[in-house]
Amino acid sequence: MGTLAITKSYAGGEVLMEADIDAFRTGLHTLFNTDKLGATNFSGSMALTSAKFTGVELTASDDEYIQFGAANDAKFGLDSSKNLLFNASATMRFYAGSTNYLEVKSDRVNVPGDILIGPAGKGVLQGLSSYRKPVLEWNSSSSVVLQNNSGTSNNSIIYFPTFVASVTESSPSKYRFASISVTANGYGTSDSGSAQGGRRSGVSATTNSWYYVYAAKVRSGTDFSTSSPKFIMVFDTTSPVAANISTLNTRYGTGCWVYLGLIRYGFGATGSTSSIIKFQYSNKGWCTFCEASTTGYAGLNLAYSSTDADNTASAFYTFAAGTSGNVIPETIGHVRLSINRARVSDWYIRETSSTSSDIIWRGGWQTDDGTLGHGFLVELPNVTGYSVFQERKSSNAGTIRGVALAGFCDTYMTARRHGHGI
Amino acid sequence: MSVLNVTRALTANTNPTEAQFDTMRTYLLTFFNSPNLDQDNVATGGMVYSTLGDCGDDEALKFTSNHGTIQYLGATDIFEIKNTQGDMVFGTRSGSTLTDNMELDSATGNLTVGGTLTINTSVGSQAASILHLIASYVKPRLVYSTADVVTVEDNTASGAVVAFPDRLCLIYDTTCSLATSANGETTGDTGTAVSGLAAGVTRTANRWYYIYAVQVQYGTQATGVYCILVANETSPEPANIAALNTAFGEGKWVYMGVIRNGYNDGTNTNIIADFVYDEMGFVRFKYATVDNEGMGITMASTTSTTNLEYEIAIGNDAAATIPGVASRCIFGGHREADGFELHYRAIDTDENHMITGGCYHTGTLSTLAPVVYFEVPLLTDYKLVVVIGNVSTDQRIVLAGFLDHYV
Repeated sequence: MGTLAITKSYAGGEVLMEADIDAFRTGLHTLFNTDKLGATNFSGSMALTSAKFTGVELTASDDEYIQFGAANDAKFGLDSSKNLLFNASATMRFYAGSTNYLEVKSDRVNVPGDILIGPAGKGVLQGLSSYRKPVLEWNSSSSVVLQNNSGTSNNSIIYFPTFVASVTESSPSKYRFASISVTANGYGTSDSGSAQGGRRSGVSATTNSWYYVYAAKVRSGTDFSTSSPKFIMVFDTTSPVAANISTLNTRYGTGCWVYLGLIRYGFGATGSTSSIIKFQYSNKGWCTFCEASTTGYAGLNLAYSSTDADNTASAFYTFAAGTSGNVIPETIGHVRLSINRARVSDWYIRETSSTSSDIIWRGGWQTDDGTLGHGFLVELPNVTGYSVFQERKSSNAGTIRGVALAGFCDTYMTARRHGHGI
Repeated sequence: MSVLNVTRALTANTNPTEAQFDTMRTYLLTFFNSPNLDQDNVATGGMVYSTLGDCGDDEALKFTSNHGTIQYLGATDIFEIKNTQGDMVFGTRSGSTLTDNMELDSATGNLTVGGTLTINTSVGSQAASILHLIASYVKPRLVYSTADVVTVEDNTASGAVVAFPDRLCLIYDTTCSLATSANGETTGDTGTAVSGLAAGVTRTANRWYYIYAVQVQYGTQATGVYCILVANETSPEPANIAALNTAFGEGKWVYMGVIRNGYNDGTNTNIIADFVYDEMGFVRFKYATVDNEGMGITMASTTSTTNLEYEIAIGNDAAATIPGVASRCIFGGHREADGFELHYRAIDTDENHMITGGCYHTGTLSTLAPVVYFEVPLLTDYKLVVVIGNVSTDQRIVLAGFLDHYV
């Protein structure tokens, strides 16, 4: 505080001298020019409104800051890029109330509670601890629906890379439903009309084919919403392998799609060629087929014959990767085969690599009763590199045999994000 | 507002008296020293906020009855921005529209973020949103490459990225060779980062090698952005975490999976066994090295008239061991003829009804050479038995795969 001091050098009855006036002058000069006014020169009501300040601004220009701390340890203000900047040499704490604070350190940000992201208001901790990606469910020979994965009936929640979406449909028809018979709508940036799950535009319903199913954000049309984002399910022929990510980003929007799994349209070597085979997915990637067509074995019939013959000189079935025909998609890591013949026989599987033809599995059933039908479930760790052979141990015209894909593990279901432990 | 209003006591053409001067002096002293200046004594637009700057330690910039404060706490070196009355809101402005983008709730402590929450922007080049990690991140899967090399499957369009406890890192060298020493993970390493064997680890026939993603902490790529793949004989089980922290740095490693060097078949003892890891962490070996006797790693084999047995041995100190990261195992059994049963028995009771499976009979015919498999839990006090008759035949027990529950 500056204190005004005026030396009283004059007295009554004396002529005022130069020095007396100088004392006044010096006191005022000292107060205003040297000691200066301080906070305590002002009354308690000294509360400056913004109108008192030039330009009503804390700082006159960008990149000027209000400094804090004895050594200017912290500051805030607009930086040169017009970001409101809080900066400190150590820890920063943003308090809401007296106890909860967001703490910013040089190497981390500590949050007192959960972090809620996006319009759906779902938390990170919820996502890590409780979220289970909904799995595809078979609905009919031409459609699938999406599993209810929350405590709300008929509701499906999906964490996308850039948002969280929650849709509720008591009678799924567009969001939680997708038909192979129709073209999807709403995933593009300039679609019009209602959202609709189905085939990606340009993709046809081809018999005996696989389709990759994606949850895609509704980005246009009448069901588009920024405050309550929605998604649809889209059948596509593009797999989610790393090489295709940029294509999918272009098609559905970066961070706006999530892979849901595979469907098979057609029973393969026998049976209906235009039915989605009934299936049951686990969210760990394993899918089991649970339907047989009018002929053939349950699942996708990779090979099937009713001609009684051996398969020793050449394979009955050789594994091949792909999406069209009696093949196995590249996202499948393991297969569960159902190997069957209506009479006894010797089944075996050989490697078919360039360097080896070793038998890696051999089953079959050899008994004195040749009429014994039999089947095996065999798991193999690959979609290529193997061939299935068979030698009859009992013959009879018209004896059927087949190799069916009874189930598979889709290695792109993204369940494998867990660590070794902390 | 206090108005300066000095009483004019002087008289024209008359020397002022002492009393008159005292009046002015007392008034000025009182006016400036009482104090009684207030904001109305300040001209509108006459000040700049910079006069408020440079608040020293513990000097708060206050808002509304001190409910909101900004200050630097000198004792703890904490820059504190505080609203004692309610939530803390962070907004952005576009034109004249203000949007609340982030809000810290005073009651729950929850942080609500309007858009995505991006992390790793300053500790690596692999910035990612939290939602991305929840929705799409998958730890890169180990993939067999050659007899010496294991690699990983890319999990992004730009390569294989691994989430560590403190950052995301791109695998700089995805070729992890058991014929090469790693570089970049050990104190004193210089030059280009290389994936390979951990420091002090040599390649041994018929052993397991645990593959870790380890941040490059030394050498050219020690920029906080990259990691490499390092093969180690130490498993990631809890008892080894301290040792791994010492070897690689705490929080600087992530377990990727285990590979097998050598089939233990007497011939192919120093090559990586081809494998596939599935989505659940189940690893399966793809090939047989002895025709018709089962795919995977030989645990025991014989040509004998008596049963073949293999007692479960968990570890990595011998050829016929099973890694401790396994929880369920697929075992295969083979007999070259005459049929057999494959049992999983308790060692101490030798009873075959404890767990049994994979039975195989041929009736009166004897020419089939079966290879059968079953999946059983890994139990230390159990054994596998190929149960045969009394005809001398080749027999083999293989480990065809297992669930790695540390991946």
